[in-house]
Formats: sequence, structure tokens, C-alpha cells
Amino acid sequence: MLHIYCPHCAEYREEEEFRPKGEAHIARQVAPESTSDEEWGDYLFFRKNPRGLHHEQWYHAAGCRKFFNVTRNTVSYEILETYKVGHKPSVTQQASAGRSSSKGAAK
Amino acid sequence: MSQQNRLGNGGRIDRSRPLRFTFNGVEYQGFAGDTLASALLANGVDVVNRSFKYSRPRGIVAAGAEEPNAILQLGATEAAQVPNVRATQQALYGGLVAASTNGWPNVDKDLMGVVGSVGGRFMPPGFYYKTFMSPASMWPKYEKYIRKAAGLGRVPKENDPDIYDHVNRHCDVLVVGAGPAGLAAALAAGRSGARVILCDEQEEMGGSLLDSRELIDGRPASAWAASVLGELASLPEVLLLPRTTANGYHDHNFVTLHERRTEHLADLAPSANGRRQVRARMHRVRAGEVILATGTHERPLVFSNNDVPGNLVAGAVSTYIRRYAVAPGRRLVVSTSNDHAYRAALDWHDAGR
Repeated sequence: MLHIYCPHCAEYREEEEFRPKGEAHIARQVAPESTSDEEWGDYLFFRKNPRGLHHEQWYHAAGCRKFFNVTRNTVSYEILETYKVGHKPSVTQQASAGRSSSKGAAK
Repeated sequence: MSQQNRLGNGGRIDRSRPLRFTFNGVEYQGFAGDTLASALLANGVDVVNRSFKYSRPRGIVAAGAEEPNAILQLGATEAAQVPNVRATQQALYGGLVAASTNGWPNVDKDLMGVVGSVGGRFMPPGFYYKTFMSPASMWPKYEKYIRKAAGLGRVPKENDPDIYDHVNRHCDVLVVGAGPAGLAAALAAGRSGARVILCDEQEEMGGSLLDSRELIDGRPASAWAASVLGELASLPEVLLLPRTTANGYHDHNFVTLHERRTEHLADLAPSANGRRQVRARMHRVRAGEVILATGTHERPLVFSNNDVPGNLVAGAVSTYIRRYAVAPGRRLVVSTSNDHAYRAALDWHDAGR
């Protein structure tokens, strides 16, 4: 069971309090009426399924009921950081060589 | 009630508290502090089960969780039936009723053994009970007997009246295993003021220290274990959980512990203060650090007929002699690939056999 740091509550809580909500950082199409069906379909349904680093949304359902983002390793389930919606991840695939010990890293 | 293999002195048993128990319908006697396995050995019970396929006789091989043969059915009443308990892990209590899980009509006279003794010709490797499935019309006739032969033990036909619960726990350090390494780790962590949980699956904490010949600081190893346990018990942030098996190590140091709270006392959980006690408890532990100090299991040597009753791993011989004051036999033949056998030979010599 994961131990997840909620950036809103500023505490570690049990996985049971949270709901995973899929891939993060998916921008809504600016002009839906002028996008092609294929682009719209990609936006609605197509998601990454990476082996390794993954930025995903989580919902603190049984807590503050706010959304936030998690950078998680899908192989080891290690959580590298959690951050509020609208912020940029500090741990990315490109910059994951020097792993940061930012807030939310699993302890 | 002769305990012909019981040694005259020594061991960590309480000779002032004899306990009666029943195995396969025969009444025997052991002492408080015995496991079911040590009490059976003390009474000279060699055959505790039958092998699954060829019904070869099976005796006790080991003294702990690694025991492969002494897998027994417990329970005096239907509601209290517990299948497949290792005799080496079951503490003896007064009125315990145990039976072999395989062997018909009983373990000493086994009809399936005839099949085994004429060899594997009729049951070659890869033989399945499904062989009997055709013709399909005959299956209901076969099934009644084949179901009996397949699988070990049986489930109770009545509801379990006992209560089980769970508790969430948090700690800085969880130590799994209270042998020399686990005790030392728990003591170091506990003295620093950390919140420590120390769990051990045996009746008594101390692990191999309880049957060791070694001296620590000039005192017997068991005395060192007792003093460390005394100090740990006096530390307010340390929680000691004996009879507790760590049965799952999940993500982010989440560990589940299974604590057996009353199974060393009776079939069904006894009452205390007019209330029924909890029989078993699940601890859901979120630990900062986890230390696995689970110790080792001795690997048995491979040779033909190494499954004949009376073959024990050397470490188990030492454990039975020193911890339970039981010599598992009359004469000892040692074959070895490691130091345990020398200890076993010395312990056997000390036992005066």
C-alpha cells in the first residue's frame, strides 16, 4: 500500500484515502469545434502507459477532496514527488538522473 | 504416561506443569513450554503423518517454521477444527487434540501405503487423480474416495465462534525476528528513543539464543536474551509482539503482522473478565524502517530414504535437546555439511545418550 504525501494537507496519508485519476498534464483543446475527430479522440481517450516515470493525478477522496499530481515510478511504485495542480514537476524523465528529494518523496 | 525420550533435566519447559494431550486418539503427556512436536518426540511418536502421494511414513524433521511433515489437524470439537497446523509451531496446552492430516485408516496402518510400497509403477510422476475422471458416469462413485485422498486436512463444518480484529500501527523501526540480530537491532533503536515494534513468530522471543551453546559476555546466550528483553520491555516506546508472524511486506514499508493471541491457551479463545478474548489480531504497520532479522533455515541433505522417520536436520536435534529437553531417539548418526552437526553431536553427548 502506497504512502502518499498530500500537498494540500501537508501530511503523509494511506493509499486508502486517495483515488487515482489517470495521467496528468493533459491540456484541454483550445478550440474543440475546430479540432479534427482524431485529435479530439486522442485528447479524450488516448493515455500514456509508460514503464518508469509517470506523472499522474490523484484525488484525496477521503481527506481534503482536492486534486494534486504525483510523479511515480510504475515499476517500483516509488513516489518521487507530489505537487499541486498547476505546478511543474521537478522530477521528469529528462532530469531524473539526479533524483531530487523534494517534498512528497516516499520515506 | 512415560515420556521415554524426555531428558532428566534442562530445557525451557516447566516440569511442574504437566499437560495432557491427544494425538490420533491416544493420550500423551507433555509439559508447559513444549511445542506439540517436542511433546510428540518426548513420547517417542515417530510417525506423525503420511506422504501425500505414496503414503510413505513421515516423521518430524525440523523444530520450527520449516517443518515439512508434521502438518496436523487441531481441535477437540467440530467448531474448533483447524487444518494444517505445523506441530513445531503449536504450543502445547492441556486438552489439546491433534490428528494426522493424511493416512487411512491411520498413520501406522495405511492402506494407501500399499500403493506406495509396490512402487511408482501404478502412480508414476505426473499421475493425477483426474485420471479417474473417465468414464464420466463413474466419477460420482470415485469422487467420494478421491476427494478424501486429495488435499490435506479438512475444514470445520460449523461456524467459528471466535473473534478476530485488526489494529493500525505506526513506528520508526519494525524489527522482524527476535533472535540475536533482531534483539540487537531493537535494543539499539529502542535506546535511541525511536518507536520500535519487535515481532517474532515463536512462543518465546530469543530465537537461536534459546538453544545456543555460546556464551555472550561470559553468560549463557539465553540469559543475554532475557536481559535484553527485560530492557526492551522497560522502554516506553518499544512494543514486543511474540507469537506474531510478519506475513506481508508491501509498498512503502507497509507490513502486515498476524498475532496469535490465544492459540497457545486453548482450542477456542478463553474468556477474560467475562468477555471472549480476541483469538488473532492483524497489525497493519506503517514503518519508517524495516529490519528483517528472520534468521536461517537449515537445508536438509539429499540422500536416498532421507524421508524415513528419524531423519532430522542437525539444528533441530540441538533445539529439541537444549530447549525442550527431548532427545529425539536412542542413537545418533551424524552426516554433515555444516557446523550445526558438531553442535548437535556435542548436545547429544551432553544429554547423556
